[in-house]
Amino acid sequence: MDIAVESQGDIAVVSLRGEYLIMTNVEDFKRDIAPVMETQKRVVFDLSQLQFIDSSGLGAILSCLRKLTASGGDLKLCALTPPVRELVEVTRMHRIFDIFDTSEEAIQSFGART
Amino acid sequence: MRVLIADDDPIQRRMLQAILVKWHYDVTTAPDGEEAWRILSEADGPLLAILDWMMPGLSGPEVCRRIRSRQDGFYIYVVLLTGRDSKEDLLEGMDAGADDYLRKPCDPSELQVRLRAGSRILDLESRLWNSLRDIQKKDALLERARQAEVEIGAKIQSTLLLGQPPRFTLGMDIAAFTVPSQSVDGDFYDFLRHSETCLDVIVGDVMGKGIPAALLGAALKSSILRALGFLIESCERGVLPEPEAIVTRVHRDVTTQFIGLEQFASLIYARFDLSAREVHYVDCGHTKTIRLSKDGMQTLLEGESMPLGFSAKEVYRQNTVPIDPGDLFFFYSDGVTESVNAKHELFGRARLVDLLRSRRELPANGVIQEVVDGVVAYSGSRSFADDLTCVAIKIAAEMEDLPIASVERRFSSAMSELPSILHVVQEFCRNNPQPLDEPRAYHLQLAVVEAASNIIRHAYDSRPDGWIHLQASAWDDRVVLHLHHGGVAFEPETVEEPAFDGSRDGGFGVYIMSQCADEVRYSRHEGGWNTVELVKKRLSPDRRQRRKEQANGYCG
Repeated sequence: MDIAVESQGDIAVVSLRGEYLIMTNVEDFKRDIAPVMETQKRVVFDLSQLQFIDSSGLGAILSCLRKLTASGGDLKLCALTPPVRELVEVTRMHRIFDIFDTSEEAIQSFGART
Repeated sequence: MRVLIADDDPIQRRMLQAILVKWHYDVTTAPDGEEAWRILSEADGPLLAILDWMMPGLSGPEVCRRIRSRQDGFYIYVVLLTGRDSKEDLLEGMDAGADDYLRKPCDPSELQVRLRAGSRILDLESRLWNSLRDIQKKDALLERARQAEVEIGAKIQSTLLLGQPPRFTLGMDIAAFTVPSQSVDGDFYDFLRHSETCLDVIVGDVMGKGIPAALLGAALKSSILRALGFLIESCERGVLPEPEAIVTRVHRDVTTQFIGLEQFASLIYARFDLSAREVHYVDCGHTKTIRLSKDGMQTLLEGESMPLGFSAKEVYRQNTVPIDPGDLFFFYSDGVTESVNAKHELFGRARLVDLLRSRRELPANGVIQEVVDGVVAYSGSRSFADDLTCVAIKIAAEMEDLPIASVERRFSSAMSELPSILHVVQEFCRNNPQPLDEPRAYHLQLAVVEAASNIIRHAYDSRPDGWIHLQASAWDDRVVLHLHHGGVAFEPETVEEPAFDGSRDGGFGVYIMSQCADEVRYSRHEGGWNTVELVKKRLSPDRRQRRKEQANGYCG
């Protein structure tokens, strides 16, 4: 899967472009996302194209959240497809992540906070 | 050549020794009969002996008698030396087993001639021994080679010619067993699995025993597979050729050759179709397969056809018997029913049916073990006069209603297979006669990907060369996934609970499975594989809604 990074001011909107994020391709994702995590503090993951995540994919996203919050930043998720939302709810991660319907709302939420 | 000189007179002994050494003999001496006998008894003792008649202890003729009375060892050529010269003495010496006889004082040239004659005889004897040893060695080699051939034959037969009871069938417990009368035999059986509820069972017996019978069994088996392959090709896609058509084609293929070889084979070809709850079979003169119902009623699977190889004009027809829950089907070779007791009375089918009736509660392999034990007890021997073969198929007592749809697919244990596993389950949830609603379908997909990941990572330790056999089945009230695999059994209890505060990445897999499937079961099979079973129920109030409420409650 590919990632596309688009900057909106100091906020990076990362689109996860692939059908799934599972154990099969999670290492590729970790490698690709590492430079973004090094350089950005405020990040939005746009998951609108992602049809499926497994526990290893969730773990990778969780790891991104921890890195960003440790450096004083934050990670917000937006546009979850129904199967992805199922996983997030089953694992109760909707209480850990800030989740929005659209990337605009996610970006705005950073503004509101600062 | 070594020579023993035994004489109690030291002067006589030395004189003879000096002469013989001059003639290039290797001389050993003994002062009395006891010592002479000891030296001659040694494993590599001299084979030529000159014995004085009169010696203290054992006399020359007595030593001679002892030599001749022993059973083993090489021939010893004995020359007796004596001052006596009566005819009686000569006869007594010869009678004791001496080869020659010289009067004292002996004439050296006469002694030389006599010893040469002895050497010639010993030389001849030694050559005879050597050629005998060569022959024995060659015989032993031949016997070893023959034995190795039989062992290889038996191994080929057991590993390649005898089919293994199929795995992953629904509602059928299957076991097979054969004991050849000579390491390889003409009995054979095979199983052709068409789906989890449809199975062909072939049990046959080629006339005769040993390697020729096993080879004909192999030829017959390959002919059956060829016929099946050809007929499947010419059938409409998804339609199976009938047993009758398969056997008829095999008959056309092999009968002329079998007649030419003056051989024949009895055979039963039976198709177990659990969806139709019927067995369609063709009996080619085989021992009559027994069907025993749950209440002990007996039916025989019998036809009117002759064995294959009897007549080119033979017509093979198929018959049908129903399958009911709890049925036991028992296939066997005549080695079972024709085994005899000490009074030469046959074991017989009636005795077999009685035994099956009293043991029908046992699993299939238990039933077979009881029959084999019964035959052994009856005949009083563990080595059988004829090949003995049994195949038992037990239909589940609570024959589950069969699934309304099922698919199965085999994958490798490579990480790259996960998307394909996911797609098969997505398709099945969507495209079975009663599609699973979306939330439940997502749950089942989440559970299966976690289950498969665990198998790959833990059961196979991330080795990609293992296998995962996925079966998906749908019923009115549930969808069930089975993931069979050949890795080590996975123990979910050893996995830690996940961290719901986001502090750790891992540990969610087993939790997701337990939350997303209504039932998760792990089992290990006798055949050496493990199964993870995931059940998703269709009915019941909306559990997802409830779970949401619970989660929110927890949150507040």
